[in-house]
Amino acid sequence: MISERARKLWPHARAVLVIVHVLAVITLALPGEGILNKSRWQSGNVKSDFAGWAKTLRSLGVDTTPERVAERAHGVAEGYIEARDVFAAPFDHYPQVTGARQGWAMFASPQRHPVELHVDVLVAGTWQPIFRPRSRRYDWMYTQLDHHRLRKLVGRFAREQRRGIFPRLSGYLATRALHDFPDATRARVRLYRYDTLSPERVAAGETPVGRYTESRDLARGDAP
Amino acid sequence: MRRRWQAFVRFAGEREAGWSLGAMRIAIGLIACFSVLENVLYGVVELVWVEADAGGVFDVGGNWLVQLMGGATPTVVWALVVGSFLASATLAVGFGGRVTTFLTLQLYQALTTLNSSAGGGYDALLTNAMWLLFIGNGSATLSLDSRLKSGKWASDAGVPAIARRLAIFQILIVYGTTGLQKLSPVWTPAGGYSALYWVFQEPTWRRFDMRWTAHVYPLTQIATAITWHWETGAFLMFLFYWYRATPERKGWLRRQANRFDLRIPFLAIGLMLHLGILLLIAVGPFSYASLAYYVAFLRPQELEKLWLDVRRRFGSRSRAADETATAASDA
Repeated sequence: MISERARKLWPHARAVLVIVHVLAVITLALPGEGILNKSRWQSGNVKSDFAGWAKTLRSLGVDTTPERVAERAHGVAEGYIEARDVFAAPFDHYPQVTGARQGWAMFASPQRHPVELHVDVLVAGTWQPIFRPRSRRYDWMYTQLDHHRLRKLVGRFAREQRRGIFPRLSGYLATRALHDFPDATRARVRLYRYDTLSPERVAAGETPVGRYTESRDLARGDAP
Repeated sequence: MRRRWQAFVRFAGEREAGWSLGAMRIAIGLIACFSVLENVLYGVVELVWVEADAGGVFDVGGNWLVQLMGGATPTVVWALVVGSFLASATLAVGFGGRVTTFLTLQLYQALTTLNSSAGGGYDALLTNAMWLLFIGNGSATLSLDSRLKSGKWASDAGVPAIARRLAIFQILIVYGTTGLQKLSPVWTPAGGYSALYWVFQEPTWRRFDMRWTAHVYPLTQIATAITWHWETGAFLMFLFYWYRATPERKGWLRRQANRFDLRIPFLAIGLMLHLGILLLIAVGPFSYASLAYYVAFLRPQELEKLWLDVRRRFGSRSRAADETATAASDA
């Protein structure tokens, strides 16, 4: 039996719980410590953003440089994270049980220096491409690598290098490639980075030219 | 202060028919179900979620439930996959009330948070919704529970109105904070509203070759401007709801808010945006999950009216077809 006192208190407790939920959702929707990630701040994308803002500020008569804008923004971000941590601390465990979290910025800074995952095998002394993103010709493991969870994982390589992710993925893919192509003596997995071209240059028929930034080369018999 | 608190207590305790929440439950259950199944069909379950030490590829984490089950071994991961699938399907048909909803949430969350590098906001949108369905008992109507209890699939069983209101709040926060986080100049006039052009060139997300967008660059600029202003403007919807809740007060804006239904243009733009995403960009079930929240914008009586209108229209059309067929056979 629920006591009369509990029955009277429940509406108030429910109202408090609603407030807790609302505060948790707001707080957890704010960007977290990831925004201070060092490799992100050093990425070409973020540098482009600061260059863009510096240019705008200069056009408004403010004497500044991309480096100064970045330094200022980093200071603001540090202060913000300190404050956010204080507000977020009481809600740390809330999303673990309720699933009420939301931290996706949805293309907050669209990638202008993307990377592509390329996989090749060495057959009779010649490197042959077996995987290129969205390619109908080089479509080895296309089903898996085209899945949005794998896209997400590979897309992160352009922004940051999370510890161990590329070595693990490239080791797996190279091993699998050597298994699927019995004639191959080596397999390599590389990240190809390039600068996205402006609309004018793409419309003129230009294709971006990039460079390989990470590479994993595995010979048959080697441990991944 | 005391009066305001009492008013809020009443607001938090209001009840309404469960139509909207029931419809949202069906949508969320189906999306979660297919979202899990998709990982199986694409063959990424073990690749993404099994721990490296247990035969997988990555060093994955695992929440309290995964730890309790013994870590992300293939057996545990597949148990979570099968469990999430079955629980989501059960949620969609509306069996087991809050117990099923909570179980689905825990299983889906345990699975999708295993590898933080291979998950997204769409997973969170689904678990957020499940928590709100738990709060509001989304299985009260349009459910097997209702059928077993009252003999009818749809009933007028009341549910806490706060759950639907929190769903509106949730999706507005998602859009609003997302808009505020778009600090890159490319989303703004300073960067020529060029953001969507760059997004479309990104090999990670585009569904197919999108170089053609360079030839319609001004259109991508218009789409960028609409997207960013619409997202940041999502906070205005809170003002709209406040004005609608207090029509007796004065003010020109309040009068306009009570005259024009801002939900219609807001949801129409949102729908176009999500259809565009579905067509051009591969971001998993994000758009489906977002659109499932849109049902919450409709009050139960509006949804019921909509449903009856649809039934009347299709019912009368099929009746007319029957009559025509009968007349033809008589002739």
